[in-house]
Amino acid sequence: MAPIDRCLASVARLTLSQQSIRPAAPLIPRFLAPALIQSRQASVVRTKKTKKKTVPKDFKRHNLEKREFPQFTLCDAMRVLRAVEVGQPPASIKYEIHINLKTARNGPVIKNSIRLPHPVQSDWQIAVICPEGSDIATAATAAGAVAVGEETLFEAIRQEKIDFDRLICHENSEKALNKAGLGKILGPKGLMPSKRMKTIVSDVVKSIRDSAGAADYRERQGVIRMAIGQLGHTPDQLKANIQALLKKVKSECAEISEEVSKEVHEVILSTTNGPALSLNSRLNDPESGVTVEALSGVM
Amino acid sequence: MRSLGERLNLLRKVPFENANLINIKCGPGAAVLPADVTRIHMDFAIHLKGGHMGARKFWKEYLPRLKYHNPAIPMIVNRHDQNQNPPTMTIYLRNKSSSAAAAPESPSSSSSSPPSEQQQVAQPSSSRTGLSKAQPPTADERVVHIDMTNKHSSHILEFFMAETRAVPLQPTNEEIAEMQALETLRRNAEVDRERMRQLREEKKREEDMLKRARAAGGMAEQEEA
Repeated sequence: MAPIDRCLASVARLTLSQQSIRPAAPLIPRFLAPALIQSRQASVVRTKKTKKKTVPKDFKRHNLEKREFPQFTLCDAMRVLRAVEVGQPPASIKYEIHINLKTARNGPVIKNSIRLPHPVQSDWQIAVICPEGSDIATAATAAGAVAVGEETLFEAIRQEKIDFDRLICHENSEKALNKAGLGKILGPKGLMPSKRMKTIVSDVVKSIRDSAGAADYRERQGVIRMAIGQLGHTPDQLKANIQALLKKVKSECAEISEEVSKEVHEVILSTTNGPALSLNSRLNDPESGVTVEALSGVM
Repeated sequence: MRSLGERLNLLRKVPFENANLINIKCGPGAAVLPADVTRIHMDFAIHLKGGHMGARKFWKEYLPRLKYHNPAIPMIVNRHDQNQNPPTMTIYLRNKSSSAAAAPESPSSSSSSPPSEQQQVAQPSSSRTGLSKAQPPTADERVVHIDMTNKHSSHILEFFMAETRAVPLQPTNEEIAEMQALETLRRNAEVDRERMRQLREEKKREEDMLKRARAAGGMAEQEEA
């Protein structure tokens, strides 16, 4: 019987050897196995090592004098910018201002609107939501609103026929506005009236008059950016605009800074296509050889 | 926000053509116009067909430099869509007799302010839609026309300099130093770029080789099995 046994064993070995692709795990002695598995698990876990990046609390603001960063008088900056923008239609090119603030990353931000002494854009298209055919509607039309009404206006907005860039709502129509559910369309455009934005008001005519020449500005990432003038403006007009804005921003900084410190660090002037030039709070340098009159004429 | 070094580089180097400081001060076209040039008008089409390219290039390349060195002289560009009209430049020059009368009381910079007031009525500012046609000259002005059809911009500049007798400005020592510094930067950047390209190529080649070896080895193992 012995030969048969031996034969069977060899057959069994043969079948085993054919299945040798199977993982070798069961062949490993038991006392070794847990150690092996353990080490592999550990290696997988430890690869998830992520260092947490620390963000400083304040925005980084360099010392411009120490770094000898080039700064310009207003006339010098305008001379460069006017040269870059030569031959462009002055109505479509705007001067831009960027005010860098020395401020914390979190905390209150500056957000307001201002009436510049020389407005950048004078023809705002304003629409007013108010009860149709009422006295308010006629008064609003008289004050220069392009569209007045309730349901007609809602219908136009639903069809995306928006030919205005300001939307004011009267108090009496607030409920109708909420019922119409236009937040989806108006929200992304920033036109949705709200009490917080002071666009739901009781005196529509006064609001129209206030917002007609006004421009909004707000602090984003520690910088206030805003259109400050048209290319055709003279240095004096631009200076008046910049001064008005800076005065307002500074007063707001002072109001806020009871809890946190916030101050103006740098003022940068630029145009639509031009380079950004840092200003040094002076109108003109007599040595630069450029006069205010020279920059006042037609481009 | 950009860091200071980045901003300085943008001011010095090339974000766009002519939008950096050194390029707007020096180069061809950096010239002071004589006092008897009152204004310049350019008229060409927005599209290039019909030989309008030189005019447009002149506006883009040389006019900013001229404007920088002559900030008081109005330079009006009128672009339109009538490609059949030849592109023309009109230079308005003050007549000899009146310039002699005007010169003593108001030299160089201030002499151009009284005519600019007149022009605010007469000359509309630059336009993209053909609204600011060249105005007829006023009583004490004469005009010079330059036909810019099918001419290269540098060619137009030569004509312009000859007609106006403008004085080209030589760059100052500081400006030359700045230009040389930028040139060395540019050359070093080229060398570095080439070096980095080679390094990256080497790395990629090795990776590819490994990948190919692995793929081939994998195939062999499967075949064996």
